[in-house]
Amino acid sequence: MSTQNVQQEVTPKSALEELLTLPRRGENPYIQDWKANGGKVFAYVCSYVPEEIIYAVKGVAKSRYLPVRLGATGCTKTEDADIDLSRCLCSFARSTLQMGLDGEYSYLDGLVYSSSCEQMRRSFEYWRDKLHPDFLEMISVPRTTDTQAHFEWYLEEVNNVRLKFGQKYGLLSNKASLNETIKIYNRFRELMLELYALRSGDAPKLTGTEALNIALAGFNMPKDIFNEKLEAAIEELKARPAVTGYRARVLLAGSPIDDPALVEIIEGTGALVVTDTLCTGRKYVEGMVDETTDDPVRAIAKRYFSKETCPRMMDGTDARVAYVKRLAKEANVDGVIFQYITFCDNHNIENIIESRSLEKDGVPTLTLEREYQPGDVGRLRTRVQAFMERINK
Amino acid sequence: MIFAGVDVGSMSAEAVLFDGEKILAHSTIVVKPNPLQSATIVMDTVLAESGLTYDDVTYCVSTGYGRERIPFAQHDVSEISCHGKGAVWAIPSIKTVIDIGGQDSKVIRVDANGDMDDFVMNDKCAAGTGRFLEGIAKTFHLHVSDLGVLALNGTDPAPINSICTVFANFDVMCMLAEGQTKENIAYGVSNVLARRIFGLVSKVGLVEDVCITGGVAKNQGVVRSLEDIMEVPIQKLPVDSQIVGALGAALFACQRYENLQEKNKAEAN
Repeated sequence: MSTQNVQQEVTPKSALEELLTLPRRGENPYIQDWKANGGKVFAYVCSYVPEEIIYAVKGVAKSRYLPVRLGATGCTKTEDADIDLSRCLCSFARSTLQMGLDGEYSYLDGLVYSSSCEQMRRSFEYWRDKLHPDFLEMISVPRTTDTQAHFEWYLEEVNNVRLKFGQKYGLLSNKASLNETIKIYNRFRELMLELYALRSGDAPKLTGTEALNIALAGFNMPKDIFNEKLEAAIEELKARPAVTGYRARVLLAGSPIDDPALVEIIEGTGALVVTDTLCTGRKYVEGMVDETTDDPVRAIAKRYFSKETCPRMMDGTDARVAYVKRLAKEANVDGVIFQYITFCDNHNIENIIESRSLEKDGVPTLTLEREYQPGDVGRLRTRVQAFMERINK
Repeated sequence: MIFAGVDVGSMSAEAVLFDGEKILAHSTIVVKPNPLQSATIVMDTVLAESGLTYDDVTYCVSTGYGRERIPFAQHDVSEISCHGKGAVWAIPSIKTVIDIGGQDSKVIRVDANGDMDDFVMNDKCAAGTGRFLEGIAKTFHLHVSDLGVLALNGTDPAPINSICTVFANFDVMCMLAEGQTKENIAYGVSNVLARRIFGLVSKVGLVEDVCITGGVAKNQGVVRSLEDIMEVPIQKLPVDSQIVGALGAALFACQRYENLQEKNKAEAN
């Protein structure tokens, strides 16, 4: 018995186990390795920052740049950040600023913001004036995507930030490093879509909570290493029995989610999240960068500018409504759960438009208001349980 | 056979005993800090009143925010489903149920069996709930149950602009200082709450017949304001409005027990 136990202890984690339990932020071993090898780590805010332009920066052998999505899971209070903030700033923005004050982001070398929503744009100034990161840039993103002029504006903004890295650190990306990065990121997207296919089929192989944990690992480690791990994890998932015992298949939509706690609450009532339209989920991995052009920066910018849009865009509402309907149909869901962080007006109003349209088509919907920090479990559970009862009546 | 429903809310707890056809007994208490304690006390009370014990209960369903931690309940159902079920049992023609509870308000669209077709609940805000009225009553040094009568005696509703529970209280204090009558303020408060509820009703769509359940249904001031705003009559329940959630739970207990019996019979065959 005792030898068996010892063997169990030294058995390395499988790729799947590792991705499901990867520590966040400064505790993440891949980020620690990266830093130890002389690499720099930059957080980006929102999916309008093209990660490839950061990841492709290359200098002498090991001085590479790693983009990670800014998150604040585990934040339990925001009172220090609140002192200088409006009470209408969303709890995600507050939590990131609180963690900045708490030194949680000491592993970061800088941040790249995009003018995604007002909540995040206004927290940019707080970083600038209070937290003073070594490198801080903002990509101004137009609010319409339908003209060439708007695209050129976005492209120029992206290029400016790319050049700022050069001015600051003397390192630049070049055509070869950009093309190499594009391949890695496209492969990442392919694999993530394969993971979605394992969830949204007739016999789902993983829960929404597990899928989010895997996605979070992907946000926080070099994509080429992640791709290898994910490939292995997908094989493990294919070999294991399908998830059973759930009461309803649901699509999750609304504000970005980077904390599994909310999905756990939803799935704790018997729902199984089989797909989503989240910018931290499906929207993050859909749309490939064109690998055949001669202008990789333009190709990268094009992918980010023409992917499924965020509700902060003035156009694209009809396309987003069609998108949620298409995914709901493809994944054969019994209902759609919308959620928004208090004061996240973009998603709140978008949720109303999308849910009305889905209900008209006979798809049951539920809308939850929540804070970024987990909690309020009873109130959320009651609503989701009632929704399950409505679906299963 | 005896079926029990127990509803532990944020302000009160109720228990109902049902024999498959009629309500045998019911009981209501003010909640204790611990939901299990509240459930036990209200259940002990209703059983003692009927001369019964826990062993006499065939099947028990719990509901309300404490529903998952009631050891003597075999199953739990959300209070949304329970209010729909209970209301339709009490008045079979009901299509829309408005439940104004202590911390949650909900509007429930039900089918002829009392099963839920759709529902909406209040946002993360106490405006439009029993807490809102309780706060105002405290400012008046009154019990919340006296607020309805006060409002009915108002003639010219005071304009209350804030929909925030805390700031509406502040509004009320200022109005008292300015010499507004308590009656007109209570009328204004009822209107504010009714407008908030009407917003929820509009989201699911108003289909008659309509009834109100929960403790706030006893507030005649709120009922008048709601009828004025909705422009439809509110059906008077033949049972205590506060026990509708627990009644629904008892009905689900009965239904679930019968389904389990049928399933067992089918498996035995």
